[in-house]
Amino acid sequence: MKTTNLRIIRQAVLTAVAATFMLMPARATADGLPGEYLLTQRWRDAIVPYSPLANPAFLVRENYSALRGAFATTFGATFRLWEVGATQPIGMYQSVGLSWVGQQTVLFDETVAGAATGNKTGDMHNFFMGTYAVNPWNSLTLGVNLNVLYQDAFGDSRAGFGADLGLAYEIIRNARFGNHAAGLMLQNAVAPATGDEALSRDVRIALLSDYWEKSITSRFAFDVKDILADAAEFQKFDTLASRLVNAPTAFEWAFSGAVGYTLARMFSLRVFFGLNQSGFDYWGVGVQANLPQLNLGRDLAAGFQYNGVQEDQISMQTSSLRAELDGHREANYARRMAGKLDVAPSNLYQKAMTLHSQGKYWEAHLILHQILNNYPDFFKNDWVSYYAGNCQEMMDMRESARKTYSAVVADYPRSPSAMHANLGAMRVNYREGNLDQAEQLFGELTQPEVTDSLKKHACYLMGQIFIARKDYENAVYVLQEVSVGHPMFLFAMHSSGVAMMLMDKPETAADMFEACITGEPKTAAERAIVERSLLFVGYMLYEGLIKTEHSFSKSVAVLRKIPASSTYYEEAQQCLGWAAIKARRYNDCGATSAVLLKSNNPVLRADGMLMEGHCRTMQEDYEGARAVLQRGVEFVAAQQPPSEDSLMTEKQRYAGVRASYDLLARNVVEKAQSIGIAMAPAELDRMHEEQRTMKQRLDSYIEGFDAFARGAYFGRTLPEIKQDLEYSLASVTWRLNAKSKGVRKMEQEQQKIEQEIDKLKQELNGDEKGQ
Amino acid sequence: MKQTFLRKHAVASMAAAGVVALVITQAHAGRILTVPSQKYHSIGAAMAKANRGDTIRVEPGVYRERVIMSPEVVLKSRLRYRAVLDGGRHGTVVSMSRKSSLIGFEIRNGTFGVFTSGFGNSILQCRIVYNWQTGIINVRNLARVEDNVIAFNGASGIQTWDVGVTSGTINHNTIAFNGNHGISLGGKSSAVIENNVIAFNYRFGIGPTSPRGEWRIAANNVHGNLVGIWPLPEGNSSFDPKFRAPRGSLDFRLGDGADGKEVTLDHEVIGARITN
Repeated sequence: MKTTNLRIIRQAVLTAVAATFMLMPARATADGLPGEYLLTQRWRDAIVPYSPLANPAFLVRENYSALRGAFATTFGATFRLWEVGATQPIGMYQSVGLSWVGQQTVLFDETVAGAATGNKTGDMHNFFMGTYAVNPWNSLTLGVNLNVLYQDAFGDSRAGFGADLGLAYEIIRNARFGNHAAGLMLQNAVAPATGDEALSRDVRIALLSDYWEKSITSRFAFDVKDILADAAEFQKFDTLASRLVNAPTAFEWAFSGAVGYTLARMFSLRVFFGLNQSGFDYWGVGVQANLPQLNLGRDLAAGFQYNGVQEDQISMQTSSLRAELDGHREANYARRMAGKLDVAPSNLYQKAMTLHSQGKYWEAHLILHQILNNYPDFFKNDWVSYYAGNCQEMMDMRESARKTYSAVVADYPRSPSAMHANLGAMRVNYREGNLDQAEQLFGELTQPEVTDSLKKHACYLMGQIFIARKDYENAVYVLQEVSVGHPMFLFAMHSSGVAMMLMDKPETAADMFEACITGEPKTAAERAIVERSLLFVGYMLYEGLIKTEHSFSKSVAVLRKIPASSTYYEEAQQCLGWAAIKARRYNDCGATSAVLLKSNNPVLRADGMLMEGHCRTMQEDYEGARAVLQRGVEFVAAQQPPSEDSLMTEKQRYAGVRASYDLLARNVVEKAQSIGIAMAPAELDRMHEEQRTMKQRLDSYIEGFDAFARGAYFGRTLPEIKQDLEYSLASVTWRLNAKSKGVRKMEQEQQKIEQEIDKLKQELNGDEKGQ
Repeated sequence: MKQTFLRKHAVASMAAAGVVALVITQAHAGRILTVPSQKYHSIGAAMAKANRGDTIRVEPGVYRERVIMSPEVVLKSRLRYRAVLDGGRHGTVVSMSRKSSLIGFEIRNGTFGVFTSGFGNSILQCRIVYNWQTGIINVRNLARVEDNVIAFNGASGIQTWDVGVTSGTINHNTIAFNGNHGISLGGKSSAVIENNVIAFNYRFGIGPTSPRGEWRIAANNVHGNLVGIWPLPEGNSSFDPKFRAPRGSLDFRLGDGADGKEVTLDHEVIGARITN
């Protein structure tokens, strides 16, 4: 054995009482070798497989970032030992770690020559390790610890630097015979020296094994201690000679082992032991609870161990903790690979989605096709394709949209985007009047795997299809599937109301419209449908179709809710105007007719003139009334009233524009698929301009058809208004004529009276002259 | 009315399936390159010469090479599990490109067995075992992973990250005795996991390391893994698959009464449909 440092002996003598306690634990924990607490495994047995102190190369076996700690006390807490550390895996084949191992006595009162100084003193060792481990080839792993030792022994502070070397080899991985890894370590290869004393060197061969999903684990290590020591250091104090003499050297070794059994992958029991050249050295037993359930499947373990030392008949207790953090190596690798693959297309996709949400469908469409061309493996290409179709749909490129949606379903059948594509195709088919195909898609959209939200969207469309087929009962049936809170709820309620009206059930229809009106519109489309419902209810109340008290005034109240910004404002004003005439509120009537006179709708404009004519007539302004009504008659005569024939003609024109637009859409898609955006901006700009123009024409046609449908439903036709205008004009003219006859008769009477007065005057003058 | 729709849908689906099958058959109607042969001593050499639509047919034997697959190429073992791809304990044994298929191999002893990210890849009837980390790493595009035995790998059987469901599914596989999760779903993964046996893995059967994705997990037998705090998704079951001899001969055929035909969506044997 090495001689004990003289300084320590001197100070130990000074603290004679304390030395009694100190020497025994020192043997218990360190066997007397400098830094023995670093060499022995016994006091931190629970964390040895994860500790670079056992072999830095084993750190590569760690797959998670991990924290570990072991805290041991012995002999009434006179001595404390601890190891804390952190490990960080790097990539698939490397790890780094930081550790702090310490040994500390309790603090004693410092004495000099038997007199207390009032200061506290003790023996404290701090050992810091930085670890690097790498698996460079096959199953071979290399590791190194770079160490700093700092010790403060009874006021004498010193530091030293050293290094450990380790290598490990994964021997076998076998389902039946277990997984085995061997390790070789040269501890203190560069031994930290503090003063004239260096930590002893140790060679350790270890075998780490686990069997059957780690239900059994084992660990065996054989240590050859204090190699490369200078024989001169092996001296002992000869008390008779009062001097140091050479001591006989000995081959010092230790064999340690641990075997554990884990139950339900959570609770483990472990026994461990140690032998040395003197025989049986120590034994111990440890328990550990690991609850990965609470840590997303990562270790979260706490343990306790007890071990006794045979020679000294003393015991030691160690508590240990270990927690894994962050992601597994494999997950980190997968995340890195996923990130590397798709930075560029992900950015483009985000850009396209932003443009799509801003309603810039043309720009978004081109970017989406750019992604499909340049990044065919982009993982969101199912959604890229869907949104390309959606952009086409929003630009009303119906044929192209339908094809794109079909391609989404064919190419990505298991993707949720396929269901959305089916819904999009159903919408397009419905708009195109392909009701059978739309119904077929409804079948796809009622499958169990389709989300409820999409199903309800489909139900709304199916309701519209039933209405188009005049199957109003089934329409109402499916429309009722759309529940409150769904984005289509207000639309479904409005359509249900329309279906009920068409079934001549105004009371029920009113309830449906009421449900729509009392909803909370959030989008412009929802506000429009609520206003449309208000218009319907207003008309129904005005016409007395709903049996309720004060229906007339309620009608006015409802119609006044339609704001001036609404598409239905003029129609609401039309109804309000006639209501004002009924109520003899001519000022209100004048205001509403002024609105109608500015309308682009010839029917409403003509009705506005009729309304103003009525108003003036009621106020006995016959001349004004006649002028307005005359203008009205002339205006109506100049109009081509929309008829079924003209509607057909318009539809044919619309079909022509639609065909041209589809052709343009095909060209756009082909261009987008074959070239990048930057390659032909001028041509794309020209196509965009063409697209905008055609889209406007299509929109105006569609608006015209809608107005015709609405007019046919509630409003009156131009010929009807023409009749009313002519009747009113005749009536006013008659009144004017009647007035003229009366005045002439009165003037004649007046003239006659004046003539008689003149005659009388002349007679009176003649009598005066005769007298 | 819905019955009518269902019938129509079934007919339409069958017709669509026929079209897809025809397209696949036509797409693969290329040359057949045999390994080993005078022309191709290794799989890598054959892969370098393979064009789209070609099939590389591999004779039984152990091939100590790491394979990078070309797009739209089929790599097929002539006899199931008899052609063994050994990764030499390091690296990824097979890296797939796009629209490529890997059929019938035993893939072992790599850091990872298979890496796939491209669109339209298929991993069929393979035995992916004893890899030091993961059996299959699948990022971005979910591959069609079907009828595979994925076992005794050091980490998870399958690790996904940000996979989107397009055409692929994890269907009818036996995923057992892996050192981490059976299937680990990472990132915003949206996976379809159906008809699998996921048993006796060291951690969770299906380890949702991130709860951000959308998964369709149904008709799986999830048994003997670490019991999590989350309940098994509805529509899955748990019963002992009674593997015949998993540790000795890697025989993962199911024992009597454990075929699970009554719980699968297609009423076929649950897990990998191993016929011999």
